Amino acid sequence: MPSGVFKTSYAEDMAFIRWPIHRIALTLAAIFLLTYPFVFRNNIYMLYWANYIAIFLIATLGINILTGYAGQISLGHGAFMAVGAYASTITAIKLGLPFPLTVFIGAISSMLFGLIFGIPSLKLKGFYLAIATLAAQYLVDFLLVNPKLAWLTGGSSGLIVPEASLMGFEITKLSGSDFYFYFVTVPLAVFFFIFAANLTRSDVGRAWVAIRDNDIAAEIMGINVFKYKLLAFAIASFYAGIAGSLWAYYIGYLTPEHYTIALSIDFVAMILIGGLGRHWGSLVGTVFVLTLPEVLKRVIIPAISGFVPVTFTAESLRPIIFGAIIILFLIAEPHGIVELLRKVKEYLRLFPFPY
Amino acid sequence: MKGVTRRDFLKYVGVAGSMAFGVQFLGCAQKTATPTPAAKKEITIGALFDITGPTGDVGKDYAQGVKDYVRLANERGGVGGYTVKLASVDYAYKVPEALSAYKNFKSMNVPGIIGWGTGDTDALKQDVARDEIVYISASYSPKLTNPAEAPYNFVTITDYTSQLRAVLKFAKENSGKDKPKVVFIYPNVPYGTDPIEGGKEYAQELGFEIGGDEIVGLKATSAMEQLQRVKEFGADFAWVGGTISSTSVILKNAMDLGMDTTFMVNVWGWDKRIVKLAGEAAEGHYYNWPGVLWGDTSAKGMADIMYAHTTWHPNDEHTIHYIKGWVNAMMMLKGIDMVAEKGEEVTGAKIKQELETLRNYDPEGLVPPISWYPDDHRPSMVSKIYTVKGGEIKLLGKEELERRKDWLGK
Repeated sequence: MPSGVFKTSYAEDMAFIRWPIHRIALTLAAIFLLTYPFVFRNNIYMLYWANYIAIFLIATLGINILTGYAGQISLGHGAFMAVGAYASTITAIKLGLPFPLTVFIGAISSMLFGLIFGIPSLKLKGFYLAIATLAAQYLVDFLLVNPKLAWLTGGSSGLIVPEASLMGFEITKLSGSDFYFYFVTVPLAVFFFIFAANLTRSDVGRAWVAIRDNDIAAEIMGINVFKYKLLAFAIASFYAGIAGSLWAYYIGYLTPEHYTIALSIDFVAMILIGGLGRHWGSLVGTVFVLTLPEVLKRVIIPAISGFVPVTFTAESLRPIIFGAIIILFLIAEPHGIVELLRKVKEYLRLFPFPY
Repeated sequence: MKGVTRRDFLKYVGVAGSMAFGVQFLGCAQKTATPTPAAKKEITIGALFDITGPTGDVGKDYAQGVKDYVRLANERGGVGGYTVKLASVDYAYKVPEALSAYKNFKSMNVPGIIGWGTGDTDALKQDVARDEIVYISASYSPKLTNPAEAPYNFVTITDYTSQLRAVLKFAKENSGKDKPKVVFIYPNVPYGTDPIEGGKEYAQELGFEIGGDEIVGLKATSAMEQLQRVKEFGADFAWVGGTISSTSVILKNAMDLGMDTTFMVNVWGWDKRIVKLAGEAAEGHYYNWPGVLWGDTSAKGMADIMYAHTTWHPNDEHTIHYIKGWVNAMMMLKGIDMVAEKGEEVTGAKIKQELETLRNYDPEGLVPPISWYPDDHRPSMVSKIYTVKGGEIKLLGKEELERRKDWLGK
């Protein structure tokens, strides 16, 4: 029996699943995802969180492709999500199209919108591009609340999203909709995760990384920089569009108040905290940023409120603690939680030796 | 991070992690250590508050009102044999957090929820109807008064549009003009735009000349441009549908421009802080609020509020938003009480049924008497108009409208 894993071919070395531990972990993850909805069959709170994270994971994967792999900073991801959400809802209301088709239309519209805002990346880099994408955010904000477009977008009061049905079954707006929707969101999130992971291993992914690391060198190597930048924008906003459409159907109510600059910044925070340019980072970051306020609310605040005399003072500490934890994490590990986990793994692998 | 080696760092993380883990168990241990008095049945109702979010300036006082009423009710022996437990969540005005809280409430099988803003109320309108949970919120949108659209939503005071209609009627009667001029100033948010259409229709009916709408955002720091147009139009009256900060900006700018327009401020656009914020500019305008002022002891229910204030938190100040919270909690508990009195199981559907039998129920004089009908959830058609005179808020008049069918839900 060999005392390790020895690869004998290049294909083996580049395989998607390389180590036995991966196989075990992925099997466990699959079992977890499959049993989760049945374990929490009647706990809609836990199902809600699974759906919430799965939907936002799709959007975060998108922005991680754009920012983490291709190196293009975007502050308009919330707007891309909004375009997807509104496009799918409007086509469902006005044209009565079925749920899967409207989600696809939402994603395509968001992709086209993202492409338009990807064009400035031809000339702009870094902060300048970030500001250009910020324009997308403000434009969408403006259009969505504009009273002149209220016949289409519902204006500031928003829209009521029609129920989604899949193969003749209604899956939203029922008391069991959290359970049914799980089987839409989670498989889609898994699919898009694997798709993104494969994509970034391909020539496209390599071109993106080359552009991120040095765009002039990449161009000299013969990479069509503009094409790949636009491709990154297209895929990122496609992901955002899918997430936006699913989110709209899931909550059943669309309001422009949700798709503000704060959401776009949350997405940037998710990938920064999770790990730039790593798909696991998208997952960890999404889980961390979304659940931390809830954990604070349910565990930390009740725990300390006994020591703080007035309840409201403890409640007001929540944003402060939230901010402090994020800063601490970024100081301790600028490359994100995934990097931290990698270090822990290395340490455990070499234990008890220091190196 | 030069000084800290990877090893040290991991150690710290380990210690912090195990401490966090330990605290959990400590918490559990404490919980199990205190035996719950099982003598009384407990009923849990949900509450969504905004304490740390953008509407926290008024939301905090509202939350305090709700909490105090529930505390008082429990102190006095509970409601219909039940101890009421308030599961409150600060959702910071974010829809996903409101949804998360809602799913949790639903898991707890709450029969009713005391909500807060337009965002959460609208987002949950369909859900509460489906899940049969009574939802009493501080959004007094006219849409919520139509049971055909929002069967499980109840509002406890006169809705926004009816308040606007009442103040328009009051303005017309007191203007001494045949065709007074009016403009509508509001932010482009649902709470601002909801009453405008119905208000305009009624203004036309009353014989007002209506000027062009002006949009002043909730975070505006200047409204000079908009007010200049209002001045050119020569408006006698102007409706202000913002919150307190934008209202004080409008009032101050109007004084700077030397306008003699009377501003009609809606129910979330003012409280006693307006006197401080706008100073002299606050004088002589119309301020809407169907209830009484905080500290007005002529209302019977104020004695309880004063008791809560002096015994639990004597050093803080309260506004009319406290009363809004207090009354919402009062009506929710009233519904539970009515069901429990009949000896039935307390469910959302039962509470709704009982609340719809209320006719001219007096919430201890704090707000106008409430009547809810199965096909009409408008609680009352009465509004009061306050004004500021010499730095003091004074009641100017009371206006009662007829309960017109065509106004329902608009």
